[in-house]
Amino acid sequence: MKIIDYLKTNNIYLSVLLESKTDVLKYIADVCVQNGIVEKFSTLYEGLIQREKTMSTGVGSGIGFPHTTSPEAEDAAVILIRLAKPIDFESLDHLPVDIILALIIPESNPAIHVRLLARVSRLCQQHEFLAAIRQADGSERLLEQIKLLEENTTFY
Amino acid sequence: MYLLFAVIENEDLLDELITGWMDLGISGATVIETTGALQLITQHVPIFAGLRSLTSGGGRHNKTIFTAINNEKTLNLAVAFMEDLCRKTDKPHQGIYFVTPLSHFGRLGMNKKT
Repeated sequence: MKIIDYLKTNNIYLSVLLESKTDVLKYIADVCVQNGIVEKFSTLYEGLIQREKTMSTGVGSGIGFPHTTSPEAEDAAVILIRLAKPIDFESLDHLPVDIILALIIPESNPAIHVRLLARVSRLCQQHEFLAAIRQADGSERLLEQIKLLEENTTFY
Repeated sequence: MYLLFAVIENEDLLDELITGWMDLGISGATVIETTGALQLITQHVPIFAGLRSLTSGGGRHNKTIFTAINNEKTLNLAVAFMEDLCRKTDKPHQGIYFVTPLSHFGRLGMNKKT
C-alpha cells in the first residue's frame, strides 16, 4: 500500500493560513465534506477532536497527524495541508507544526487504519518527504515527487 | 499461511520493526517478554556468569514476536525487512527467527458486526 493510493491532488492544500489547532481540525472536516469524503461536518470534526483528546497527534518535527474513523467514508482518504505559518499543535516535542497529514479511515476497515498510520509514520521519517512538502509549489508536482519517493523506498 | 517467530535481542529495534511490518500489511502480532536459556542460567548459576557477554550483551530478557502471515510474498518482505533492520545495526546477536506452516487460524469472541 502506498500513500499516493489515498492522496489526491484535490486533497492537497499548500500555504493555508490557519491560526490554531481547532482551525485546522475544522478545516479538515470542512474540506472532507466539500470533497465528498463524508457528508456530516459535525461527526467528523467530533471524531478528530476526540482523537486529539486521547493524545495529541502532533508527533514532532513539525508534523500533525489528525485522524479519525468515519462510518460515512467509503474509502480511506489523506488530506495534506501545508500551513502558511506554523502553529502550536500541542506537539510532543513542543515545536510548532507546519505540515498536517490528516487521515480519514472507514470505520469498517481497522486493518487499513493501522497500515496507513504505519505508512505515514515511516514516510515522515524520510527527510526528503518532509522537504518535498515544505518546498512544493504545486499539488501535481508534489504528488509526483511523493510517488517517486515511495517507489524508491526499500521493501516497496 | 505461515507463522513467523522472531526473538529480538535488541529492544531498540522493536518500534521500527513493528511499524515496518504494519506498513507491509501485517496488521497484528503478539510480543512477549522472554528469556533465553543461556541468559537465564548465566544469571542464576554462578559458574555460568562468565558467559553473560555472549547473551545479547548481558541483557536479562529479549522480546519474542509472533505473527500469522497469509501469503508468501508478505512473509518474504517481512523477513527481508527484519534482516535489513538488524544488519544495519552493525552488531551481532540481534536475534533469530523461524517460520513454520500454519494450518489453522481463527479469531475469538463475537464479531463486531454481528
